[in-house]
Amino acid sequence: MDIRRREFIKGAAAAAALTAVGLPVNAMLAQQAEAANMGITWDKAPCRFCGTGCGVLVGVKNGKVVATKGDAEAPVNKGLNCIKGYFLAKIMYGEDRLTKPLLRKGDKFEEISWDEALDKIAAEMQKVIKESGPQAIGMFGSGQWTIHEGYVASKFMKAGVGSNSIDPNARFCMASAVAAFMKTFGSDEPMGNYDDLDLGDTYFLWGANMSECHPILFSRMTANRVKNPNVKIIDFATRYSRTSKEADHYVEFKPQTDLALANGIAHVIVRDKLYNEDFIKANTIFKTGKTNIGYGVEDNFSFTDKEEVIDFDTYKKMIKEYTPKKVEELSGVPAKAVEEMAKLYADPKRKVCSYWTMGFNQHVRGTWVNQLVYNIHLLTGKIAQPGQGPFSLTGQPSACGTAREVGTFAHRLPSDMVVMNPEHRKIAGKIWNVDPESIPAKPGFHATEMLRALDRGDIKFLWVQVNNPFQAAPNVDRFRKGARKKGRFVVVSDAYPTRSTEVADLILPTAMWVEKEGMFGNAERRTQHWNKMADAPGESKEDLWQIIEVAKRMGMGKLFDFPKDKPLHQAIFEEYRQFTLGTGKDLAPYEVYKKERGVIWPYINGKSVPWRYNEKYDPLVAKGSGIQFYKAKKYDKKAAIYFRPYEPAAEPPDASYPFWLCTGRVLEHWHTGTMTARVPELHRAVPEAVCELNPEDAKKMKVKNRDKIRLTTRRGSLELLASVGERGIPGKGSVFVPFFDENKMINNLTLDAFCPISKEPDYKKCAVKVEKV
Amino acid sequence: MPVSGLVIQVDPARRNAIISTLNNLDNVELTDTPDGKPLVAVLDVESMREEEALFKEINDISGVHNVTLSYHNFEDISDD
Repeated sequence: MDIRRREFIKGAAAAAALTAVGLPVNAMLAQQAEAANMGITWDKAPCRFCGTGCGVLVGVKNGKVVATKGDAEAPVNKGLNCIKGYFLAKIMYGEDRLTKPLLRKGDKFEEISWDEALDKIAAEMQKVIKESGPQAIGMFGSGQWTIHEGYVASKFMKAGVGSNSIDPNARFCMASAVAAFMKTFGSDEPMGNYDDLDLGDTYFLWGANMSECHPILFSRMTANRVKNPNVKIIDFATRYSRTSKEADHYVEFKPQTDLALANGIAHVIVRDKLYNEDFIKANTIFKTGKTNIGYGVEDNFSFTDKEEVIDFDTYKKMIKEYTPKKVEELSGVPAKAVEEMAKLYADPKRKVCSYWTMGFNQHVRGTWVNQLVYNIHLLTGKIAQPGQGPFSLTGQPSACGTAREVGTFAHRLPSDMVVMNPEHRKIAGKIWNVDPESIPAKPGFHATEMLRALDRGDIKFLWVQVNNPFQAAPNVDRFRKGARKKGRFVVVSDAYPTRSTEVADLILPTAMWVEKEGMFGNAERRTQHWNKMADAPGESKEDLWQIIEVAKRMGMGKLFDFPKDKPLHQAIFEEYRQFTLGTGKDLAPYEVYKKERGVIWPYINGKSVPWRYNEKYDPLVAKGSGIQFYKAKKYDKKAAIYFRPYEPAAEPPDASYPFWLCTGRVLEHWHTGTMTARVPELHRAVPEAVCELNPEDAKKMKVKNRDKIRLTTRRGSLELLASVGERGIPGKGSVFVPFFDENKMINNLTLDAFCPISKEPDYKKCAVKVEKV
Repeated sequence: MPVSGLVIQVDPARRNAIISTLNNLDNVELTDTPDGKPLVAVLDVESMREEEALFKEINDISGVHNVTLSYHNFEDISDD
């Protein structure tokens, strides 16, 4: 590049940054930016990584992505991207990108044509259906599927194959939030939006390392604090992280005791009558359910709750035992801090938000702990208002848009409908133009059980798309062995070789991100569209094409015979949109998404609803109601405050395995590292997973930073380096290991216990032994 | 040889000290922004590895709340 062009690009970089902070760009920088753009075509897209849904402008030259910039017109990030923005484009050009279908021959894979691959899949599926029935077919999808892909996959499985055993890796990520939203409010997903980060003044983070995992949202919160010194950020966590360092208060609790802590806060609010009585009377009911509900560690575990409506007085009696003193005994959080936090939550002068991610969701009582935070907001009436409310963050770009809204779970249909409800199947049958009876009424296998079923032989054919369950699943070694058992056929569609392609019988090369047209839905209910901008390498094809081609070969082509007068992606979306209209989850016409930087649903009378359930913003609320939870139809449009007790974890530490093992993410790598590990720069920065130890524990064991240690659980053993006093500091008695490293398979050690309601595994708590090697 | 534009949110009380630290870093050029606004920096380096290391170094400066990326051009190395 000549010096002159380099100067232009530097001018463009400065101009983009100034625009992002709302400052004017002088004429010289503007001219340089214009010159830098020569030969580059720019178009909008949401970021490929987490569930924040940042807007990115993608620069393409000669069919390849050569530049990106934060989209200053995108309301989510207003021109800013996190460090992963550096690698958005580079993830597409890893040297080992898959470019041809590959069929297993013994221990090797041989290239085959697409026709051969698709014929083989159709033949294998038909054989399994004939011999074992459609329930022996499974599909393991993802919150990284585009909305179009998830919709096509769901229709293929539920209306075509006749199996509800389709489940996304979102089951590993936010199923607990879904279950809790549905039970409490009758509708999934938050009522607020990201503007709450700018408008509130008190932020409680529960098990959410936002600084590293949702940096753009965290930067909005800290920018709010710079402008308003009254803003407080409170980090409730079991591990001291960069978020804790930036927070005003770090409140450490013992693993699993967030249940007690949330109940303790509710206890003080009730005890001191800090609640909003009018709000409670008008908008809530009280409920309780079964206790001692199990952990799902055994195959074919089943659970049915027995819910009961109670009154406020009964709830008061139930919550009475969670005194600050008792909470201190259980959690280690000083009673005084519990009192202070309750008062902060209830202070009528404060606008309060709660944010959480995997700490709550990956929890054997994940549904409960989500509900306990709703309780605090419902008791205080601090909900569904600008700057106030509970908000579950998501980890994948379309966990909400695809997994939750399209309904690619084993029990769900689009728009909060479920396969168990005959009326819902009727609606689906009508839109899909199939007999509703052809949609099975019984939920299929959820993600963990699907992998167990593959091992048992109840699932014989499994198609994995856009994810890596044979690295990411808990207790994964069992499932890896199961996949290679005789009589199983595993197809994996991916862009790169992974730990899942290793166990596949057939690998399909997949087009990714801007190599295809798509839509993602982020955590604030914002649906975003992008056009195809770059060429996929070799013979890579998008996932929806793969599914439709197999469907045609199985005689199900009619399911995907969309109107020809419109482009395919538009026609697919318009069919899907029919599910949403008039439901309070209404999506906008396709052309609106093509033009806008995302649109928040519900989209009613040509406008988005920024705060659901609030009369001022939401036309679906009855006039004069103020706040109305209109989707909770069973209980007179009132939200439910559930009493849910503290119960211990599935496998607490003991004399043989004296530490807690917690797993999670690091800033530089996203999930199992299949994309970010392809970026040499990122890989060098964090080349391997290390085990964080608390410095006091390390001292007792005479372990120094970077010493080799061995972790052992009841399921397996792993050697890795210790990290002492580096990035994160787990609480005493706990260790933390990230799960991105395919050479350090920490999920060989984790336990496949899950929340009996949401079926989401608890990756944060099992017992482990730590030894110096 | 990638070029990137960064936005740096800082503690207002330590703004001047942070500017001074940034001015001492190689390959970092600051663009003037008024008090009360975040800092704007352009990184001009040899490799994405250096770029990422610099990003982290800036992020770790005492008083820096967070660093975000607003522009990234890597047309020279898109074929790496």
